[in-house]
Amino acid sequence: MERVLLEHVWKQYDRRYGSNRFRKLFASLMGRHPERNEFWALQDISFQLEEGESLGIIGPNGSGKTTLLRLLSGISRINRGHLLVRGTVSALIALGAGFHPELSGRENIYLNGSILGLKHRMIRKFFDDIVEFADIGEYIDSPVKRYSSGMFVRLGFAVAAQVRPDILLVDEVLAVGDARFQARCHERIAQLRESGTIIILVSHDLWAVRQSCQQGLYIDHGHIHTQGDIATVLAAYNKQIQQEALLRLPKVNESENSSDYCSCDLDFLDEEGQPVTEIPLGAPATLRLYYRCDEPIPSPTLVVNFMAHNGPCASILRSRKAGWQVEKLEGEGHLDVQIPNLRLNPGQYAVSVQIKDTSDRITLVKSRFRELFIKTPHLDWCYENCYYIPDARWSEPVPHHSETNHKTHFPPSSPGS
Amino acid sequence: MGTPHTPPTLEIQANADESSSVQVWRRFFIFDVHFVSNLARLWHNRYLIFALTQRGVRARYKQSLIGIGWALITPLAMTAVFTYMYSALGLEGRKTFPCPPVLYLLFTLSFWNFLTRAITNGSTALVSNMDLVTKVYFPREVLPISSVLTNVVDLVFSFLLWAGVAAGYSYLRPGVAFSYPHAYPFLPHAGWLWLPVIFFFHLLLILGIVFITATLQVYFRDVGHLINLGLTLWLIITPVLYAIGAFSGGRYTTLININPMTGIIDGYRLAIISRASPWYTAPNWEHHVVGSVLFSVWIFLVGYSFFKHEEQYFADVV
Repeated sequence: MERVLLEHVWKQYDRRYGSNRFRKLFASLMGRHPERNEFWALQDISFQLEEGESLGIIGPNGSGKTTLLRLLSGISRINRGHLLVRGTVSALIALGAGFHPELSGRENIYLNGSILGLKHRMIRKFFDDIVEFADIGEYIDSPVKRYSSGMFVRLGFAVAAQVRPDILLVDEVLAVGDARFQARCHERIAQLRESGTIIILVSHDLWAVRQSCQQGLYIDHGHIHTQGDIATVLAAYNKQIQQEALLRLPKVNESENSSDYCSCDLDFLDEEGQPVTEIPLGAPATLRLYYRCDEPIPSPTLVVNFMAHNGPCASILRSRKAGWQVEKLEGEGHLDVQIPNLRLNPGQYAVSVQIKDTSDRITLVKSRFRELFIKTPHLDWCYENCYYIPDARWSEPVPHHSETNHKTHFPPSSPGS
Repeated sequence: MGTPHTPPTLEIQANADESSSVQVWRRFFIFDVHFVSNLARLWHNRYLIFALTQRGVRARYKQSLIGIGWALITPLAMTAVFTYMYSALGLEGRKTFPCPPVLYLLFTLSFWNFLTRAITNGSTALVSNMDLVTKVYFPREVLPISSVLTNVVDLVFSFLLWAGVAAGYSYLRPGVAFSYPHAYPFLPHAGWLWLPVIFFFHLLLILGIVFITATLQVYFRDVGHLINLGLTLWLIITPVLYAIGAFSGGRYTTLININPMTGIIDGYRLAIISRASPWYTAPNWEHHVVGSVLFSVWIFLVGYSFFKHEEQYFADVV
């Protein structure tokens, strides 16, 4: 039996008047056209979740993710369609909602717990757990306005973590707090998931979504772009981001590229010397750099950037560091950079070449970004947050016997454990 | 096990068209069919009402030196000003007041101040708790209700102050105290049992008004200014600064008599000061207590169903 069911759900907002239909009525009486400000924040959303399933919702800012959570939690109403939620819902949309700055941590635990639907008796029972989880120590009796923002959020989550709903909605709240706190939050979510709670998670942290969810929903401008298995959805999202990055970047560089005296470009060649855009992980690759310099450039530096799909520079090649040096670059020509073993994390990259001056500081010319796709035999296999896959060889396990004189790496095991 | 507020099954089938304004207006006369289930859910959320009321009470006097003392200073100061004004103007007649003016003013002002504060705070309850309205789901009437109940603490303190002052007055100056038509020592008596009954209807009246004003405040912030104006005008036609018999006949008396608050204030007065049944009707007065009670129940039902109808839009509009 499905616990969450959405059928062709539509949600409309108004840029100017919110959903204030009285203001709209006034505006139309005044001869304005309030319907011009209307837009559909969610359009024709359908999905369903069974017990124990978890859904990750991803999408760019303003795509309607939070709106969807608000509809599910009952805060906001739908305009069209059908929405069915069976079971108790708890939303981690804003941690510490209803905290009063003047009240102490202790008082706010009771207040916030009541707002989240916990009975007084329950809060008293879990009080020590909450304080311990929040890790706020002697601050428990200080007004929360004296708390650091991290403490504030930790206390909010500690209270929220005691609620055991049938359906848990989580929105971006875990992005705050240090790594240790985040790890505990994910642990808590995993616990709830194992006990059968439906988790619906909205996050820009694709790694977290991958970890916590089996199903995915990629929303773009209020439409469902892709839905289904989380790996498929993440792949579609990454591809979309990559395409947008490629569309956006060349425009900036087009003018630099057609600078009057100098330009450059690059291509990837396979072993037969054919230009390619896909290279298998670990295969040898040749990077061919083209240049045209109407005026000679004295002792230039060439820099190749590999940009990962989500922005950061994944790898960089500098001619100067490799000991490559020429007296000057003149006329039109090309040069090849051999890479015997290209071991970037499988996925998509945007690669460009720059020609810099002697000092390696001033960029004289920058090429367009070229798309490079590092393949593996099984395409869906990739890591979210890494760039380099070392070529590692794994040995057979070697047992340590007492006679072979190996020093032990571990403390002596205690009798109890 | 935690029990969050959402009912076990939330099923929403949206219609393509919004409910028309005709339907909205019908709610002023036909009461909501979900009234009983709404009240049941409200009862389920009594802990939340309690917690929010507690928050309001604690937060109001945090970081203030006198704290709850302000609940006593305000009615005392107002009573002092008006008593002085009346004696200076020579209006201090036995005919108009059923007891010494000091005791009458302190008595009525404590109930009137409760009304004005409750309406002012309750009307802004949704707007000032915007973060809760837009981020957490719970029955929204919890917010205005707890804002109104927050003021009960002040009322209790100012009423106890009146009881103390009245007892002291009749002990220290029995000559003055017993020279009024209903002359009794002001000590607790059986008539005080009427207090919770009248207070219940007083509360219904306030809640009914607050449900409407809090809802309108979400749509139009102008309501806040209107309320202040309205409360001032309302004070003039309520027997707070004068006794019910001060005006005899004329249009002004009609205004006083159709005012629902007249019956409430006079009900308190009859039960506590005059030791009469609040349902007692003096020969030349209108039968206002029963009228006030009926009006309070009606405004509560209408206000509540209006509020529950508009509730779904709050998060998107506020």
